[in-house]
Amino acid sequence: MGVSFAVGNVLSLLPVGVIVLAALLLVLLDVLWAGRANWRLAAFGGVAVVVAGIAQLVYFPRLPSQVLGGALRFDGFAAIVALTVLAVLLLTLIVSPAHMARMGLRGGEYYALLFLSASGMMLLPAARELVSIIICIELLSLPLYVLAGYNRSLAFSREAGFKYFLLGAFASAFMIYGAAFIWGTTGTLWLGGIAESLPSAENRALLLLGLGLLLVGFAFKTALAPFHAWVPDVYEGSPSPVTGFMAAGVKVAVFAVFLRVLMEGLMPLAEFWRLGMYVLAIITMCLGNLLALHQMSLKRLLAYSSITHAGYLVLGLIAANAEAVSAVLFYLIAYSAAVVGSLALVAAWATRRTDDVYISDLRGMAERQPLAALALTFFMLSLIGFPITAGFIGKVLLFYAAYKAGYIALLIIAIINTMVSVYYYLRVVQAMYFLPREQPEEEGAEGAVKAAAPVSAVAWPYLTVALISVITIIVLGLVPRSLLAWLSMCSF
Amino acid sequence: MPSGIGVTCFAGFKLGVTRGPQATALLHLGMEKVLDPVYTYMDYNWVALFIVGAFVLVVICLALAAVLRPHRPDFAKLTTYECGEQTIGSSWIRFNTRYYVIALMFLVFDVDVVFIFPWAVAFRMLTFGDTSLYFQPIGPAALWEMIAFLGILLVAWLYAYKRGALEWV
Repeated sequence: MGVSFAVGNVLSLLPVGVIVLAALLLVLLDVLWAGRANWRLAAFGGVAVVVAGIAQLVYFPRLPSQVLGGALRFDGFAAIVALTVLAVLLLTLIVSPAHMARMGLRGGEYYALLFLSASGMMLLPAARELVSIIICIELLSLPLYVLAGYNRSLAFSREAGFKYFLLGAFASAFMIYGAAFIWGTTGTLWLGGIAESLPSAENRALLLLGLGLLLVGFAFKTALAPFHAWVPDVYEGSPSPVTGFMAAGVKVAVFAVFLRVLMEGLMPLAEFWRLGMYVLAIITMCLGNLLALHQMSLKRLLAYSSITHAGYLVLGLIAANAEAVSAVLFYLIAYSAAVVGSLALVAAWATRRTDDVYISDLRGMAERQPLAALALTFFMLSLIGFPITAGFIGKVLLFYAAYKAGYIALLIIAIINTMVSVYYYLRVVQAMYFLPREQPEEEGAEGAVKAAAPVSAVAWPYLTVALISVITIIVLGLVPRSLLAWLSMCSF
Repeated sequence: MPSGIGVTCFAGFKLGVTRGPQATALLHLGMEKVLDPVYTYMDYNWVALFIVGAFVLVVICLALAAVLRPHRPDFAKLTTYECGEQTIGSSWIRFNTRYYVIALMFLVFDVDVVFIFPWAVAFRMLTFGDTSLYFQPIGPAALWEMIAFLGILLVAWLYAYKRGALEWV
């Protein structure tokens, strides 16, 4: 047999191709419409996402199909992650124009960057070779660096973009260096080839060094402690729809590829990375929970909660069995729904001065916006893992996979952390339902201005996204079997 | 660095298909230097000599000058030299961002060219194959891939053009 650069089944590339083409067209359309056409660009983007979603469903790979010489191999796992990313992108697109208008942001590069990042997310779980994986992670991250700093008038946003860029660049450097060491010791970059040549690799020390560097790079991207320092500032500073896109999309894509790299490429070294991930999981869960306990800002709270959820997901990575694959995917889908919905509501209530919502602003929200308050309650319950929400099913599946693999102590720590997290999630619910609206202390003009602080009615885009997410959470929580059957069919 | 990744990719592709330990079968593609285990650390002596020589040369020049020149400081001599003019204000001034934008555009298309070079060198082999190599050609797709790459860069250029990044005045 020979080296085959055969282009392969190009039709598998159709969904990603639509997204990339849409990104390029959005750049050109933005130039054409001179940066004043938020709604038109978002509508065009939405149409493109729907077309890509239909293409993905039509060309759903029942059998894995190779493209580009085997560098990309689309199977059910990759297709489901792609569909999740497309859903997150669509929800972000619905919320974006209203938010941009409120924050006074001009420029349509926003949409093009979202689409480019989404194309990286869609390609990631299909990549079978370390350099392709790294390139797709770069494709995913670089637009997000710009998007994190998009709200240029806000110092917080500029800081967030800068921080994300620096630390993300470090993370990529670690990953590339780790991949180089792994190539040096095993002689191949293909995940299958690495798994085959690992038992006979010579230089064990270099190999473990490479493995460690690769894990550090991935840990940065998935916000595992002690590499989590960028998460709160970046999530708080970014525009809220971008935060939703980051929290959901990046986690889904990078965890999916992380799972694939560990299970398909590095299983012979399982004792080593399992030990490392064990320690990381415990530190992440505990640190994320402890630091979230006293957060008053809703975006920062969601940032620390995303660190904690990354810690829970590491349980699935450590387990690395067949149940873990579908558990991790289900958990990620449930988490994405909750996070995108919460951040849509944050975008609805955010003030222009600081793109953020404080828990004190949420007091008495249940009287003013009952529907939105109920939606936020459901998101908090799903993030806790309360029954009848999708988060509960996700946690059950994940903990079962960890139990099946025999990690009982880790399981107990995860359950204790879940119980601890109930406090800060329910504090949000308490503020909305049980605490009265704060009366302004100063009378007169200043008091009136403060009392009329813009916690306005929730506009239709935010409410739509929130309701879609709530429906997803409830449906997946009550009838998970439909999705689970699909997921277990797509295991690898 | 991109070419380094390109070479690594290329090597990775080559080695990966025959799965590692049989990589020596592909030595005829010019990868001997990377895989040859007979090179020694002695080959780097010339590099060490070059580094030492660079240091010594600079140090000698500066030390000799410091020793030979007179040291008679005067107020006028210690002021900043600005082609004979009087200095006005701080030396930290706002410079035009056009310089940065031009450099950015140059960098993007320079990297573009870096990726076109290996493609151009390998084009004949990609399209028509080579009977002495274990390689299946991909035919016209080689051309379409580069056209797609250049198309994406064309969009970037159009964006920069329309946004006024290429204006100098």
